[in-house]
Amino acid sequence: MREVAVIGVGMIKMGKYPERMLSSMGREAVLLAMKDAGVQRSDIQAGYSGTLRGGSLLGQRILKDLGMTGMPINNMENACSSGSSALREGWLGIASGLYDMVIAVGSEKLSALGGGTLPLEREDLEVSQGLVMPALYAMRARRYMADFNATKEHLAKVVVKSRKNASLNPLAQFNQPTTVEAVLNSRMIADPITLFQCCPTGDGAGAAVLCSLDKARKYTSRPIVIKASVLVSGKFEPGFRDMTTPEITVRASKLAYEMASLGPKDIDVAEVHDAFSIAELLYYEALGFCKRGEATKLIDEGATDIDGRIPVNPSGGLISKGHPVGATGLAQLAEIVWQLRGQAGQRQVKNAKVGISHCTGGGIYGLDHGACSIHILAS
Amino acid sequence: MVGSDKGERKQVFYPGEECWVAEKDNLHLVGSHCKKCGQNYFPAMEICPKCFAEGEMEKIKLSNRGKLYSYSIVYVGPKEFTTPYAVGYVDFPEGVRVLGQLTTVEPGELKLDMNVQSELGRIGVDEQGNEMVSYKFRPL
Repeated sequence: MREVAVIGVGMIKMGKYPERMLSSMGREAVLLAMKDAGVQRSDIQAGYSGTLRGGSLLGQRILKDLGMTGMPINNMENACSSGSSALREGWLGIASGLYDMVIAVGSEKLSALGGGTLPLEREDLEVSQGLVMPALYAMRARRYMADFNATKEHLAKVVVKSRKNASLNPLAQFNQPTTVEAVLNSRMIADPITLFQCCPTGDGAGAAVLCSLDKARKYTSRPIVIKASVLVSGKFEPGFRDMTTPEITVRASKLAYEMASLGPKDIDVAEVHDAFSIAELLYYEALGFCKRGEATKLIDEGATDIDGRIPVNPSGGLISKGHPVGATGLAQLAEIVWQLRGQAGQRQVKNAKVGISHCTGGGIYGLDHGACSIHILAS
Repeated sequence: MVGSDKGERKQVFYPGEECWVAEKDNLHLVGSHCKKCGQNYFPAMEICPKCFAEGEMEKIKLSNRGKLYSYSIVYVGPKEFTTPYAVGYVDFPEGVRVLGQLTTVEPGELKLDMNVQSELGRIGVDEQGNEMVSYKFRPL
């Protein structure tokens, strides 16, 4: 496999754009990434587009108005990991030697669905009984709180950190800090998860230009190298499972660390899939940032703050930066690239040299999640 | 056994009537057992996802009672489900976990690891106005 670098990233400010076409949001992100990379459209040999509910041929809809057609365009759907799956396939296209440069884009327009919980696949056994994503995370939260003496204040602290970081990120959907009291007093969605503990309904797009490392130096003196790119599906388990250990993330992170020949201690900055407050705590443990049951200690001690031992979600994460589903993988990548280049402004993590981005999601009966994709990047 | 809404709505069964059997007023979920590797499933499978055996599945009745692994009371959900409603994962002695609605939304009546019992009940009303009927779990 050849080494692959990220030479350009871009994303639009997340928010609600009901009047805007989804393809135009994706296109703006593509242009931002191409300008950041300083490449011509003729340099791009393939396109990879991720979206959950963006409809058929979104990649073509985004790229045709730029005249970037004729090349292979791949459309990916993997629930919350759709964007990161597009990134992973783009990486594979270059690592395999098939292409030298590709574009990956993720976009989503959740405002078109009218709010409420994310509509899930009705054919699914658990969805047919009334399961919604907040309830799934709520059940993980309740079990975790009982098994490890965590409190609802711990859950709220994740959101307080998230909002604080997002207030330093001009591209985040939410820009106002909050308090533990305000988080706990917000409307109950799925007990014990309150509204502020949920990722919001929003729209957005992110994109990245990937290039083989040997050619990357032609375009930039600071390529960000993809040290690991991993995509796995959840393992079907009809029996009992410990819902406080997300098996899909544990497995994917192990593969990613092996591939990068790095460990959790080498990570300087992380963007993790905090779709709901409890998720971030579970992923501290699953990604190896602390031992089992010690996630609450990390949040209590501020270890995951921007100036902490292992800063997590300096962008504000899914809860506050926003989670337009298909856009998330590329938005996470953009944040890690900016952090590793030292371009993250007020939310810059000092001396960040190695970063990890983690996407997981998709409610489906018998699987922890449908898909999980992890990337480790280094400057 | 099934509570009807003014007795007028048509009942539809989710995921399907083949998923349970009523005996002496006790409801038992119906799953399957792989004769080759011993794994149990709910709902019933045709091919064993664990060992890939074909034609080795036999139907089994799950116990009427199981243990509540975790639960949540849902305040925002799809419109066919009337909020608030409660959902929970129930662990059956046969080694399968089943997600279903609970018969109560009273926080005081729910506790982790408590015993619950299967019964049939209304879980919602679908877009056609039919009463959606399925298994539910009652705290004991």
